[in-house]
Amino acid sequence: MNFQELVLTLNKFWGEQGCIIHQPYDIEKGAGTMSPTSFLRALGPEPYRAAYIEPCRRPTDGRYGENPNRTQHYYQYQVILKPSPDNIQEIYLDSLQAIGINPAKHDIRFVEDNWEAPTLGAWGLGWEVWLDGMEITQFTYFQQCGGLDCLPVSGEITYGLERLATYIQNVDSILELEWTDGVSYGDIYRQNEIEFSHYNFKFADIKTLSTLFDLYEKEADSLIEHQLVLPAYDQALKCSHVFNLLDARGAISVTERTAYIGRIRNLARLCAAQYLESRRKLGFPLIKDEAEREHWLDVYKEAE
Amino acid sequence: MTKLLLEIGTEEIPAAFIPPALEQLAEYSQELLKGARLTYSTVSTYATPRRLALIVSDLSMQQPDLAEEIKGPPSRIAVDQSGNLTKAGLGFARKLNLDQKDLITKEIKGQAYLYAIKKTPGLPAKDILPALLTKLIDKLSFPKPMRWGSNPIRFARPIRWLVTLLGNQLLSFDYAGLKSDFYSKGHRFLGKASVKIASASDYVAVLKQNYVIADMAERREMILAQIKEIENTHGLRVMADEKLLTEVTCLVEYPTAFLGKFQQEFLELPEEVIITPMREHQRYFPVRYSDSSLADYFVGVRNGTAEYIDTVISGNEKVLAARLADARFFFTEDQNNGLEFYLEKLKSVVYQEKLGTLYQKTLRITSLTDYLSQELTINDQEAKQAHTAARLCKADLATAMVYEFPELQGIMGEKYALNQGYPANVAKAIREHYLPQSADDDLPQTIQGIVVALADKIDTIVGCLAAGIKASGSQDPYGLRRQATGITRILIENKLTLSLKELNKVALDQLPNLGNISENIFEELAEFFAARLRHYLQIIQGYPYDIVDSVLNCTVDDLYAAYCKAAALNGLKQTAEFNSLITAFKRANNLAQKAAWQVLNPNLLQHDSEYTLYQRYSSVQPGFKEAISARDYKTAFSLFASLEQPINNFFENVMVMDEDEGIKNNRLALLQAIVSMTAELADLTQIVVE
Repeated sequence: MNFQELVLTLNKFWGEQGCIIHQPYDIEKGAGTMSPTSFLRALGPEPYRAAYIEPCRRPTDGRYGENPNRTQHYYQYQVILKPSPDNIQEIYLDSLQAIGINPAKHDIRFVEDNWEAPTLGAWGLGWEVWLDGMEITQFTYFQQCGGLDCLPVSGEITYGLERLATYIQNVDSILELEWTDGVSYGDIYRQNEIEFSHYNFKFADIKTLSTLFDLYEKEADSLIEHQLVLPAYDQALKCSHVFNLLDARGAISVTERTAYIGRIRNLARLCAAQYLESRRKLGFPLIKDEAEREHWLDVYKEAE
Repeated sequence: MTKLLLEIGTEEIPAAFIPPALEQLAEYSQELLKGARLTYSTVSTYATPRRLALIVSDLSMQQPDLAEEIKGPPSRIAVDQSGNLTKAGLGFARKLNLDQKDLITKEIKGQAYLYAIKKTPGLPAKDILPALLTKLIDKLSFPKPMRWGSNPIRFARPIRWLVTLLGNQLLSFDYAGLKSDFYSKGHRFLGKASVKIASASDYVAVLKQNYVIADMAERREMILAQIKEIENTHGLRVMADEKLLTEVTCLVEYPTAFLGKFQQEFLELPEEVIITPMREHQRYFPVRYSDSSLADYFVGVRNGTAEYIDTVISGNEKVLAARLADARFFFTEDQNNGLEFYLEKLKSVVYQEKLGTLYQKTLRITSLTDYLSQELTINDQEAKQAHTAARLCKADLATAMVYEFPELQGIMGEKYALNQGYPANVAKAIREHYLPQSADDDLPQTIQGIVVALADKIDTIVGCLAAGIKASGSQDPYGLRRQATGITRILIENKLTLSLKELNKVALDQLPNLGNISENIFEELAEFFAARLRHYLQIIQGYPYDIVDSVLNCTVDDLYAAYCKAAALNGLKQTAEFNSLITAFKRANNLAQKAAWQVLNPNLLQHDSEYTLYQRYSSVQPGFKEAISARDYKTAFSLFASLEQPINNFFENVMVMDEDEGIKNNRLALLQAIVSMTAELADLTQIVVE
């Protein structure tokens, strides 16, 4: 199974589970969770089921295309199910079957691993899923997002696509993966890895980046003031990426680091609170059952 | 009499939560059953990652009736002259929903009271148990509970099914949106997805047919037997430590141990570097050859049978190979630079917000090390080496290896220092300065390690307390109590004499400006150390509390001296005349306290026994003072104890409160002099005489 078949298979599988197959969000982000489809949709009572491939950027992980397991740009396959269904683990195991991994022939384990994103004020409890000792998936029940309790709780499933594919295709390096017939992952991304590693570590202009951070933050504040939460959240994402670049450039001292993280978390919190409020004002339109809608409007009114 | 089964079916519970959850299950269930007046013979608990279960044997089917006597108002106000209830009496009966015929009169201390006999008929166990089991599940607590779905309940992980049987009867109740039922689940991939438990006594056997070994002890035995077999077949020795064995037992429902191999070339790495990723990340047992050298093998435990074991083994081998390749990469990369390079990097690592970077902490540790080297009069060369070790002791925290494997802190510092050609004792001190890491852990062996360990710990404790970070209850994020116990043990077990107050002062003086430090910081530090010393003396040394109280009631500045006093006093306590000595001392002390300080005039001594006591007192003084300054408290106490007979004779023959003011004051002065001998030893008034 080549890389693109893997993605198509997961799309088909989760589509059949009633998921909206989203397309990747068009702003740089460090993890699939940061997409508004996960971070914002996890807030409030409206049911949501989504699955999508999400490109992720972690500038400090750049290795100039020389490390077999580490790249500064990679893909996650992200599934978000709200509320988390009772058979969420069984569905997940079926998805492994769908991509050709028969659990009965392996040792599949759910090993405690808790997730926390300090820049998002978010945390959850769950596992990393082991396939014969190898971590292939992060499985999390969101407990808080942007400092707000998740009620009901979303189940989040994040597949490390490259890791999974190297196992399925039995190759030793991400860049050796077959993307599609005759085209390797390296054919597509090697130059990208080399150039971005240079950029991330040497050429990203520190002064420009610090200015950008301030500008994006200011923009976010002003958008929040105008109650335009979705554009505001975009600015928060941009701040987060700029921060990661500054970090890769080694330009952030210790005290600054805490301060930067605090500033991003502050934006994430404001966005979370405002998003929830905006959905409440709309009357939580994705809840179809009238009585249930009333119930949740009541719950969230009291919580205010 | 019948069996009760409760099975809480869950998604995979974290391994570390399971043993404490089983303890709670056993404890709370017995508490609740006793509270409900239900008898039973035994309570057994079972667990796998996907279930917590309880079986109660020989449970009574019926709660006995209960008759309680309830005290009411005095008869004189509750019953009128014609024997009818007054308003007050009626009120009492109404409150309990009883008639007058259910009330009796009882006499207490000559006073008659109205009493009610309240009878509560016993209920069938099956009617009580649903509420009792609900309460039981509610009571279970976990370090990090979670919510799931739209459920308000919190538990370790989502609850997915419940089985509650009384014999072969279903005890139906609702919990967390589920209805309890007969149906459990087998092993995820080997057993049936739905397994009927027809009767509570079938539980263990039916699960076993479905590849679930519910009994923890049995799974553990299986793993041990499989390990034994691997050892015998391959002539290897598997390092199956208790902690990992328990964890692995909690990670599987049906264990199969397997032997995997890794490339021999990785054996060139230090052992800890190979063992740590194996054990901490992959939960494999390391393996040794019979000559106890580390083998290029590992033992893993799979959740399932031996079927497809080759796929499982080769997958696990691949993962470990990648981890070891990473470790080798870090080991090589790290050594492209010396420890001084990593020391520089600590300038950008925060130790604690108020207390600055790890670099700043390193500077403080270094100057405290110099101070301690001087105070403990260690020789110049050792002091120089301790200084170097102090400078480098935190450097490995900036290396890639320790970043990846934090538990290798100190260990990597030692390896890298040795490879860089630092003296062996410098390298060893880098590792040892973290010791002791627990109450029964080893102490540093080298004097260099001892000094740096003390310096690091005192800086942490004084820094944190000054910054307002305290240990309270179960909260002690910086391990302050552990570190203070560490200092206590190092000083006492190495017989090191040191002024704690001076040390605290030096440590405090070099902290960064913290704004307003508590005015009572020295008292807080003294109290904190006194509490750790008490713990050491009472819990670790097992000295009686009154001995410890009497030592701690005096000023404690030198921990080793305080320990010696406690040891000497405890020794004295074993002697025959101890009780009589203490009784005499207390009497003398009471009298001595009665008057202002008097001056002793030997010429005013009247009575023989008075004079004998004075003579004895005077003759022991030189030896006593010498013993005190030599910290020979055993001798000091025994010289003091030699006054026992003369004091008792004195009390027998002399009337202290003489009519003559001068004689009285002189006698009080003699007692005051004797009592004040103990001021530097212990507060003997704390001693309990049996």
